[in-house]
Amino acid sequence: MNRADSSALRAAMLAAADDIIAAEPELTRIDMVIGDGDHGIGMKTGFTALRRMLLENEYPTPYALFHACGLCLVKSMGGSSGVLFGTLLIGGLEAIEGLDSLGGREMCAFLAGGIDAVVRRGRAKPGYKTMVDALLPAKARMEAALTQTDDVGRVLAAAEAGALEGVEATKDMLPRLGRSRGFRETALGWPDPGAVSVSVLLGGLRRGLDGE
Amino acid sequence: MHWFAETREDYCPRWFEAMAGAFPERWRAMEGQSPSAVLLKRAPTPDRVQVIISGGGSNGPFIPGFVGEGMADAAVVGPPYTAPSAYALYEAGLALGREKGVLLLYNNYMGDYLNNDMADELLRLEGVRVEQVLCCDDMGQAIGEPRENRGGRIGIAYVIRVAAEAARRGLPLEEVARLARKAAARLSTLCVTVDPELSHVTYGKGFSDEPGFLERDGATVAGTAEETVELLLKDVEPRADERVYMLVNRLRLTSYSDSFVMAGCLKAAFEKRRPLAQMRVGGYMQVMDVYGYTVTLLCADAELDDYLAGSLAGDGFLL
Repeated sequence: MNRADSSALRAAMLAAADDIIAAEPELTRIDMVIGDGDHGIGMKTGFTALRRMLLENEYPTPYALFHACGLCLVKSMGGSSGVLFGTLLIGGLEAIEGLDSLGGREMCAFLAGGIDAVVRRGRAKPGYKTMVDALLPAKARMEAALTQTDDVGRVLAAAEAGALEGVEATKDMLPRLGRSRGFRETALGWPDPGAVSVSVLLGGLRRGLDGE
Repeated sequence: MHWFAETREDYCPRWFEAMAGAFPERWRAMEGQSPSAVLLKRAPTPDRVQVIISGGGSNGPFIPGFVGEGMADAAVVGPPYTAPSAYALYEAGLALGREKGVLLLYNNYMGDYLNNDMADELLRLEGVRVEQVLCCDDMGQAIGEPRENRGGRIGIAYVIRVAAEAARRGLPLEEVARLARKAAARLSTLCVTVDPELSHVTYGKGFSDEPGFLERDGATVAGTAEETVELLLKDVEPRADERVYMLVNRLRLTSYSDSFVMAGCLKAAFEKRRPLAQMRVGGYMQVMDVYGYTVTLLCADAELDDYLAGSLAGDGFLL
């Protein structure tokens, strides 16, 4: 898989939606300990709506696909998770305007734009135990991979690996933002559920492109 | 709100539909945004900048009571104490702002910022021009921190007036936003809650029950007015070229007559120090079930002053 067109990317988003839905019990279990317990259900709600939308529609370009996906999450999820996962898919659209397919370089520019938008909008700094702690290592690993390859699947695999490293690192962090700030002590040893969702999403995209 | 719990899922859509049903000549509700809700003016004025105000659904008259002629073009609310969805804000912006753009005006809370900022991005992708203005007038919270960390209270009423008047005059979006930001930067609101049985006063309570910063036992009405004015002036420091406007907002358990007597004392205390351009009194934002007031000062230079002439009738209040 060197480049991915909108139908391949649609399949990848469907796989990612399946993985998020399947991860709901795990996300809920983590968020029950260190948050208010609604992260898993919120993600499942959003990605169930996303899955339904994708099954009923075709998209002419990657831009149209990711724009529709971002809007769908914002509309169906509500709360800050809906905005931030919507931002991840919408913030980098400029980089892929007018393209029929994405290679590794374009996928990296698209995701990096979304990641930068989440960092800017969410006002979370690295180390605050948030999704940003999975997104920034994902971006770094993607950018490093580009020196070796322009294969879109390999770039996504690098993003997933970076996100998983970030998830591990959040286990040793104390929460600094939002409601989980109130659960500081018990949060040690647990990953941030938003960071876990990022790794599941990127992993699902990679798996869907591989046709697994 | 327990008695209304059965309506919780679609409380705000039902609220706005009933407002439009009761006063159809004034308002129209946009459908399909549940659990958020959108209220629009019955007769839109699309040939000028549109002002959209938003926040958590609360008890009013702010936010939806500020939609009307000379005020905001739309109000978007989330469920009670919850920010509206970015999607509802986006739909309101698309419906109104295609021609001259929209001003998203709201109080500075995390959920409101996230959703307005997202709506801003979504609207720009559709070619709608957007500016955001945040109000940070609550001097009782985030003390010692930068002003932009403060939340917003009812000082936003003046910003709505300035923005709406600038829009009415046909100014371009950037100019409407500049004037609104100028007003927002020269505002301060102090919450004064009272236990009347014990003559105990608390200054600076937040509206989600965040503690205040100063307590007084055995407080008198006149003494409280003096201290309130002192604290506000120290925060906002009016310049010589500015005229000062005062807004006295009664909280829910405060009587109509008490609020005017208190306002008279505040005016007297203020005018010992400098002249007051105008004082208004009413129930503009009655979110707290307590006895007390919020008192807002706006410092307006000659340019802003020009946008504050006359009076406006909202739903159940004069401003």
